[in-house]
Amino acid sequence: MNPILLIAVPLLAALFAVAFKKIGRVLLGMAAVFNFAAALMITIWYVEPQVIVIGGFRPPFGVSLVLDGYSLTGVLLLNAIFALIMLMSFRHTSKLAAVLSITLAALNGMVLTGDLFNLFVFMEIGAIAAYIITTANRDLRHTFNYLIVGSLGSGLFLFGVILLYTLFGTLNMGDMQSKMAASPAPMQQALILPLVLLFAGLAVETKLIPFGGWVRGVLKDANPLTGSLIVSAYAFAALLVFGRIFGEMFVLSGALLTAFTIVAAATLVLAEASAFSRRTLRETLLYSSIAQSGLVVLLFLNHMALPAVLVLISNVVSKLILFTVSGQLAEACGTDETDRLQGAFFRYPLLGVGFTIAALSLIGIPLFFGFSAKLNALSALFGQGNWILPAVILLMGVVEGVYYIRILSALWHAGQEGETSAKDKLAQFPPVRQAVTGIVGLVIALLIVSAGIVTLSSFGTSGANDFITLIRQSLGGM
Amino acid sequence: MKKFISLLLIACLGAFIFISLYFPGGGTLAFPYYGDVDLNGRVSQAYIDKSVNGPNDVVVYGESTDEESGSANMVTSIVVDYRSFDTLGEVTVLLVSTLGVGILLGGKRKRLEYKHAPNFILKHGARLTFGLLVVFGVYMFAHGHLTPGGGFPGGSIIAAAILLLYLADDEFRVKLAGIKIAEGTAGSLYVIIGLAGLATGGYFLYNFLPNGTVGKLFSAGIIPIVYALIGLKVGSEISGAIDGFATEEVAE
Repeated sequence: MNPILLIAVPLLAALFAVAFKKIGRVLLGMAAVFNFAAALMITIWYVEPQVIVIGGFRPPFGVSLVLDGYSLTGVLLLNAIFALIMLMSFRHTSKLAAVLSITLAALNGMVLTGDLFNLFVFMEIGAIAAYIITTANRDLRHTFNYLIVGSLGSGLFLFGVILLYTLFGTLNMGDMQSKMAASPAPMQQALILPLVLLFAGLAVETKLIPFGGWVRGVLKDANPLTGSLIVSAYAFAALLVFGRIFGEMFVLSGALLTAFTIVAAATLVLAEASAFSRRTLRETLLYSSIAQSGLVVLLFLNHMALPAVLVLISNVVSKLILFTVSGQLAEACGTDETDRLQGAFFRYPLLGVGFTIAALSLIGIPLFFGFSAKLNALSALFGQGNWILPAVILLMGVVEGVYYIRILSALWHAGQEGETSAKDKLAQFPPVRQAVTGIVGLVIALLIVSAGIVTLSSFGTSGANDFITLIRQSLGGM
Repeated sequence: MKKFISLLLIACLGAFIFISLYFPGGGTLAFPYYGDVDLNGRVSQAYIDKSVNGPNDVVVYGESTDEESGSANMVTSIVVDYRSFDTLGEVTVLLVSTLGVGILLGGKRKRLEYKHAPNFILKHGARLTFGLLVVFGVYMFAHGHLTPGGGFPGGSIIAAAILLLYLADDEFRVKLAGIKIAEGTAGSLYVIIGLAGLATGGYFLYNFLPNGTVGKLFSAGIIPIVYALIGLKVGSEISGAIDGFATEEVAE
């Protein structure tokens, strides 16, 4: 099966949805199911890295896609995440069916493309779709803010791509990489400006501080659909793009590496501190997402692609369920202040199980996937002889542990007798919605536990450098 | 204070860009001056020679047949053939933007009222000009593979003709349902042509029709068809957006 279908089919669904508005949501659902099934089949039949030529023009002249272990990981999980978001938040999609189908196409395009300008095009489509999706929050000022910052970021990114084309005369990532390796020293100096521009452009979508100033406004009152899309699907695609560019194409060293690492580490520390100081669920979670972005960027920059991808997967999969449940609780209770949601899970244990396991995995409790991911990252950093970064990461892990435990203990707390707590307000929470979210949560929890055990069993022994191979080897070795 | 800091930051960024572009690597010029670029070793030379998939002789206007990509307009062969996938993306950018306009300005709407009612001559003069403009727009995209132009400018000219009617007549409105059907159909056909290429040639957006003689109206395979679809799509899409801006919400 040609991976181009992952982009073409949702696009076609979106265009049909424009012409026939009434069946738009049916088309969206079909596109999501098709993409998930197709991604699964592509993964099963995957043998070795391949370049998918478009239009019949050989690379580097035509636009081409790259299917390797890295993009395959992206495609498989991205389409799974998208399908789950649709399953849990389908009722929020009413006006947005066509836009969401386009989003699906754009995110797949971002992960698969092997061409820098094509990457820009897909990022642009994805960003515009995101602006529209965030209008669902009704506070258009925040969306407008996001639009301005996002457009500025895209502009800087495009400027960087133009400069790289001027230097190397090609837009194909692989071709540019080989031309770069053969270029003389002055060229390396000239790379500084385009790389800074690319970094600034990507930093907006990967939410690094200070470029991610738009996030709080857009997400603090986000409905379950908007929230889980931005912190899970979008974050996943954007960070994979970051890894493709700064983890694989351009291997940084010297002053530039130090500068970018400081931005990433500062993001991690400041965002964890902000998350710690917040008292509402969604704000805590959004700052936690920003912090994890900082950590992933840090690992990519320091040439640790596999640990970065593991931390990224652990984060986006957990955040998917955490944000959806928080959004639904906020809808049902009219607030997402942790203290006023006391006992919410006591009333609806089904919602609580997925939430709890996802949170425990993020803290890094052994046997959960988050533990494997963190262990991998720390041992890779120690392996480089680095002591400062692991210390920062461990310290931040403790901070994270404190605020997640605080949230969990509040939500599982039965409350005093006679006290009106969230559990009474939750009485109207529709049982079907509760069951769907609960079951998806259980499935995710199961995946987190099994992936955690499988990857831990082969820790350090597998020579894999991408997630798909790691899982295959781990399963084969059992 | 905030403004001063912003100004300072922008000045620093400007200085950084200027210095990096003019003095990279201790005086060696990595970025060539305008016109000094050596095209050999850059992808663009192969686009000009139409030699991407194999060596090629000189291309003669009106004589060479079955050339790669087949379009007399080099820019068009890049935009709608060599890098057609990007163009499909750009078409999607416009689509998603107008969807956003539709969502923000949706609901039941009526025309904005003018302070002075447009007179008879203006209304009917505009209708006469409308026809001419549409013909010009169609010429623009139908000739896109031969002369400067193409689907995007052609579609914009058609939308400009619609804008003229909106400005000259305070009662005029396009039929939005029809616009949406035209937009969706034209766009889907672009993707379907791409899938047809995948089915016949093995590549998405493969140019599966005969390329003909360079410079003839019927040449360049799927390029004129794709440009016509883009023209139709862009024209209807921007017309729909114009309707959104020329109307106001009806209070219910």
